[in-house]
Amino acid sequence: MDLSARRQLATALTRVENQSGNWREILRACIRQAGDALVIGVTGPPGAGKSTLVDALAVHWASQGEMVAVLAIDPASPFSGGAVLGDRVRMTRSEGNDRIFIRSMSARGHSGGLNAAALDLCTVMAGHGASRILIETVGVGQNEVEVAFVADCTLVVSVPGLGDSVQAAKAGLLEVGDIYIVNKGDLPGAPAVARDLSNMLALVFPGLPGASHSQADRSMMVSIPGATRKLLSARYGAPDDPGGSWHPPVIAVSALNGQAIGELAGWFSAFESWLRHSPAGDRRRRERVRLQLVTLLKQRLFDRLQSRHGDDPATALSEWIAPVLSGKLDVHAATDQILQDKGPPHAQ
Amino acid sequence: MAKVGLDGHDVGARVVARGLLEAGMEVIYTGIRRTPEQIARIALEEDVDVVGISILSGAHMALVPKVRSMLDPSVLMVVGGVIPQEDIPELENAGVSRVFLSGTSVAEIAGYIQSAVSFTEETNEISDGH
Repeated sequence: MDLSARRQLATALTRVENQSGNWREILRACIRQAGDALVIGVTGPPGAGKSTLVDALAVHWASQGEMVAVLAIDPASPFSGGAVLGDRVRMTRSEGNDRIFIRSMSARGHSGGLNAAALDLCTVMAGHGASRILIETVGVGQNEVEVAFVADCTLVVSVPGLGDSVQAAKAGLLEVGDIYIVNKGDLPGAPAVARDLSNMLALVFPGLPGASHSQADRSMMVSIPGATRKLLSARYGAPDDPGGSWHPPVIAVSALNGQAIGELAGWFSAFESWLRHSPAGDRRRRERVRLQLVTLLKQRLFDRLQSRHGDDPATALSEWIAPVLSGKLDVHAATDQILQDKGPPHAQ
Repeated sequence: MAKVGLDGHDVGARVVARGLLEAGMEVIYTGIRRTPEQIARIALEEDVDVVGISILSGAHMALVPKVRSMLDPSVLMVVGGVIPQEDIPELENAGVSRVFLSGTSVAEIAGYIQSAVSFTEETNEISDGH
């Protein structure tokens, strides 16, 4: 990517992120030009080594001829709206690589570990020739699983020392990965974390890690209620589907010294070929569009309601706050009235 | 917010970055020991309005003009750190908008940036049919 292409991509990203000027036009043009880029979400707790891992993967893929774009998201201040974006500090190996483009992004008040505009920015990156797009989420806790429904492949990064084996049994983040990574794999405790995660996955998925076929061993699996099983197969495929079902692998790596990054890339290729053959790939794409529509509708409907009650978002709902505090209305009744477009109680 | 050259003293850079966050800005921190080429590339990819260099190594006369020459002319550049008074005119001649010496409050830096960055640029760019 030469200097002018780099500059063009940078300004297009700014335009679309800020939804300013001809951003819709830019986005449409990018959708037309976008190739078959794969979006990889990298998520995990703060300090797990997500940036370092993204750096290692980007360099690995660039060396194989891929054009890699990175979108690194850090949190915004809930008070000032400002942000310190420091993911690039850990991406020095990618810096200067001709086949890599890195962009930092503030979450701008969005709490799911992603910025609402993140998918649009991925589209812009794909439209400028990126074949692999790595989204690094804000450092997350246990429940910020949104990225898993946005990316083609979700990498969940864990590290030794975050807790005992009970943590591996919990719901949320440790359910949505396509590939689980135990980073800092050279530290004591890493094999135990990897074993705990693998054991939990074996309760849910048939056979061995990777694509499993209908004859796969299911002796470890617990019985899962039909509705849950259906949701799981929608995402990970069923053993009888073409391509089989995907059993997420757990890999101990050291992103810093590059240990097992090649192995990780191998698992990624296996996942990619499974995704391209499985009906789950199509179901995931449909789900992604549905979620985008829901997100946009929520935002636009809320904006519309809010603008009806004053232009300043900070004061728009203030007339309903006092009646709720005084016990005249409960929050549900107040919401009913706002939706019915009735004025606040004192105006009626 | 960038640290250039062989200079590992980053407390000032991090304090100022944090202060600018409190002023509502989005600050990309590069980390220490970056080359002018790397800083120029980061500024380009991130499409920044301002580049701030924090430098305490004494190499500002060699490094700061070099970074400046690699940046887009529309990007504002400010410098902070241990810089002798007599070097300031030459840095300003090289295209540095403002030099902040030790003892400057973060509020002053934030205030300067807010007043110096023109947000009308965006509309100008759109009209050039880009």
